[in-house]
Amino acid sequence: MLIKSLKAENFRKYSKLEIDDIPQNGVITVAGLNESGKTSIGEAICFALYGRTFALDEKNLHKIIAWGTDIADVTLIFSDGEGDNYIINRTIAREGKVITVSLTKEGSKDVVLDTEETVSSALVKILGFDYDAFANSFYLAQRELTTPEPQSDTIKKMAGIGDYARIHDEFLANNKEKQETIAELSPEISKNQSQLDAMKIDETWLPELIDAEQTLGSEQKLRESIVGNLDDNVDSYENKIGQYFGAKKRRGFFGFLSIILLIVSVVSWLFWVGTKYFSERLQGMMNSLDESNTSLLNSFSENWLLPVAVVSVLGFLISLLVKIREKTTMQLLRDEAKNTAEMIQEGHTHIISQVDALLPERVVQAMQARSSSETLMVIPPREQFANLRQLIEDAPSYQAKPEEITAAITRLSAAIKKQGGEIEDLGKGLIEDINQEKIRSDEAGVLRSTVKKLSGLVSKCKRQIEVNDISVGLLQRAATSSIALFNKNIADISANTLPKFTEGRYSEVNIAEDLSVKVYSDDKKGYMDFDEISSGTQRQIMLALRMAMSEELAINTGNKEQFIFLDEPFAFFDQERTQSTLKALPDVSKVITQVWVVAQEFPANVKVDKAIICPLESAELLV
Amino acid sequence: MAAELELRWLKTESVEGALRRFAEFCKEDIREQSQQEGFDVDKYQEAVKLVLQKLDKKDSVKEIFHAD
Repeated sequence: MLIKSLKAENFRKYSKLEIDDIPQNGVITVAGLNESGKTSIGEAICFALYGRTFALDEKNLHKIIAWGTDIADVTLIFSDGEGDNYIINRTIAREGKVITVSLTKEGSKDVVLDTEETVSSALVKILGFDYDAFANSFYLAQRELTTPEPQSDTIKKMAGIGDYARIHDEFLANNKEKQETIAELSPEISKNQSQLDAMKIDETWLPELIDAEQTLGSEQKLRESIVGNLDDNVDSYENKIGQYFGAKKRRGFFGFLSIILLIVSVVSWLFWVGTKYFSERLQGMMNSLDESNTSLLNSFSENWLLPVAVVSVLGFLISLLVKIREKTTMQLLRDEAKNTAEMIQEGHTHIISQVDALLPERVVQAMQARSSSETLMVIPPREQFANLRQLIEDAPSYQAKPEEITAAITRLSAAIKKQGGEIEDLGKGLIEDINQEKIRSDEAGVLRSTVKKLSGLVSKCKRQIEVNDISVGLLQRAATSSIALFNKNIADISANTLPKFTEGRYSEVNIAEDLSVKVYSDDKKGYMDFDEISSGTQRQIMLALRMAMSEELAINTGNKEQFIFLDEPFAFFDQERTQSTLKALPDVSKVITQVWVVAQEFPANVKVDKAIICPLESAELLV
Repeated sequence: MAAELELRWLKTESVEGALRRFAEFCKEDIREQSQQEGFDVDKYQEAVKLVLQKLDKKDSVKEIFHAD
C-alpha cells in the first residue's frame, strides 16, 4: 500500500491540508516545530483508513475537528501496489461520530461502499491488515519503540499466520458440524437397515416368481394351442377315413386295370409288328385256321389292331397315373392321420405331466403350501385313456375306429381344458405373490436407497472430518514453520539494516521465540542483552526490528510496495545517528519503499524525495 | 512417483503473501508427511486446496468491486 494523495479540511489545526505528488519510492520528510501539525498528517492518514488515530479513540475522536468548526473531512487515495487505486473518505461531526464513510475503487466508481462495516471489511481484504497490525508496524507513533507481544495477532499477521487461527477454528467448527450430522444420521441408518433386514428380502425370489409365472403362461398357451388343434381335428379323422379307403379302392382298381391294359397293349403291339413285318411267316402259321377265321383275323389286323394297341397303351398310362394319384392321396391322408395321432400323443403327454416339473422347487413348495395339496394339478385317471396307446398306433393307417378317435379327442380336450383352468388359478396365485413381492421389493428399495444416501452423507462427513484434521495439522505445522521463518527473516533483515543505522557497530541480532533481543557487538565481539546497550542504540535497533517486522507483514499480506510512517523516530538520536539512519532508510527494504519520517528538523546534507514543512502559524498546508 | 510431484499444480510464484508462504511450506511438508504410515495424498491435496481457498482474499476483493 502506498499513499497517493491526502486531503483534509478542518482536521486538527488544519483548515485545509493537501499533499499531492507524493513519490511512490523514497523518503518523505515532515518537518516543523512543536505544534506545527506534523503528527496531524499521520493522524489524518490513520483516521482516513480506520476512523481513529493512535492517540484518540472513538470517545475522544471529536478532538480532531479543528476549533470553531463542526465537521472534519479527510480523503486519502492509496494504491494497493498492484495497479489499483482506492479512494477513502471520512467525515466526522462535532458529536464525535463519523457521519460519512466511503470507499471506492478508481475505475469502478459505481460501486461505493458506504458503511463502517463494509469499508472495514473491504480494507482488511485489500490491505491484509487491520488497525492493530497497522499501528504496530507501518505507523510508528511518537512513543516508545517496542516490539508487539509475541503471541499478539499483530505478530501472527506479520508472520503470515494471522488468518490461521480463524481458519483453524473454522475447521474445528466444521468438524463439530459434521460430527453432529453423523450423530444425527447414524440412528436413521440403523433404523432403516433394521427394517430392511427384518423384511428378509431375497433378491432372487421375485425373478423366480416372474419366471414361474411366465412358464405357466407359456404352458397355458401351449395347452390352449393343443386344445385348439384337437378341437379343429375332432371330425377330421372321421371325414378322412372315408376318403382314405375310397382312394385305396381306386388305387387297387386302377392298378389291376393298368396291368390288364399293359398285357393287351403288349399283345396288340406284338401282333401288329408281326402282321406288319413278319406277315408271310404269320400267314404260314394261320394256314392251319379255316378260311372264315382267317378272313376275320385279317380284317381285325388290318382295321382294329393298331387302334386297339394305341388305346390300350393310352388306357394303361391313364390307369397308371390315376393309381399314382390315389397312392399320393393315401399318403397325404396317412400323414394327416399321423398328425392326429401325434396331437393325441402330445395332448396325452401334457395331461399326464405335472407342471411342478417346469417350476423351481421353491416356487412349487410355496404354491403347495398355499393350496395345501400334494400336487398342483389333478391328473385324470389312467383308465380314462387306456386305449389311447392302441389308437395312436392304429390311427396313422386308419385302422382305428373314427368314433373312438373322436371320443378320445373329446376326452383329451376336456381334460386339458380342465387342467388349463387349474394352471390359470396357479398363475393368478403367482401374480398375487409377484405383486406382493414387488411391493415388498419397492419398500426395500426405498429403504435401501435411504440407507445408501444417508451412508453416503456419513462417508462424506467422515472424509471431510479427515481432510479437516489434516488441514488443522497442516496449519499447526505451517504456523510453527512460519514463526521460525519469521524470526529468522527478522534477524536477517535487521542484520542487514542494523550496520547501516549504527554505522557498523552492531551487525547481528538474535531474536528468541518470545521476541527478546540480543545484539552482536562487533566492538565487543559478543552478544549483548538488549538492556546492556545505550537507549539511543536501543531505539536504533528497535527501529531496525520494527522495519523488518513491517517488511514481513507487507510480504505476508501480499503488499509488494508499502509505505511506513515514522513519527519522531530520531527523538533520542544524536545528529550523527540521525544522519546515518536517514541516509540508510531508502535502501533498508525493497518492500518498504515509501518512508515518511517526522522530525523537528533534518540534516541539510541528506537528500530526500519530498520535504514537507509544517507551518507554525498557518492553518493551511498545500504541498 | 515422488510425493512432491503430487503438488505440481501448486504454483508458488503465482500467489502472494501468506498464501505463498503456506504454499512453499506445503511443498516441503509433503516430503516429510509422505513418509508417514497411512499417508493419503488425495486427502492431503484436498486439505492444501481447502486452506489455500480460505487464505485467498484476492477473489473476495474482486467480488466487492464486481463492476470492474
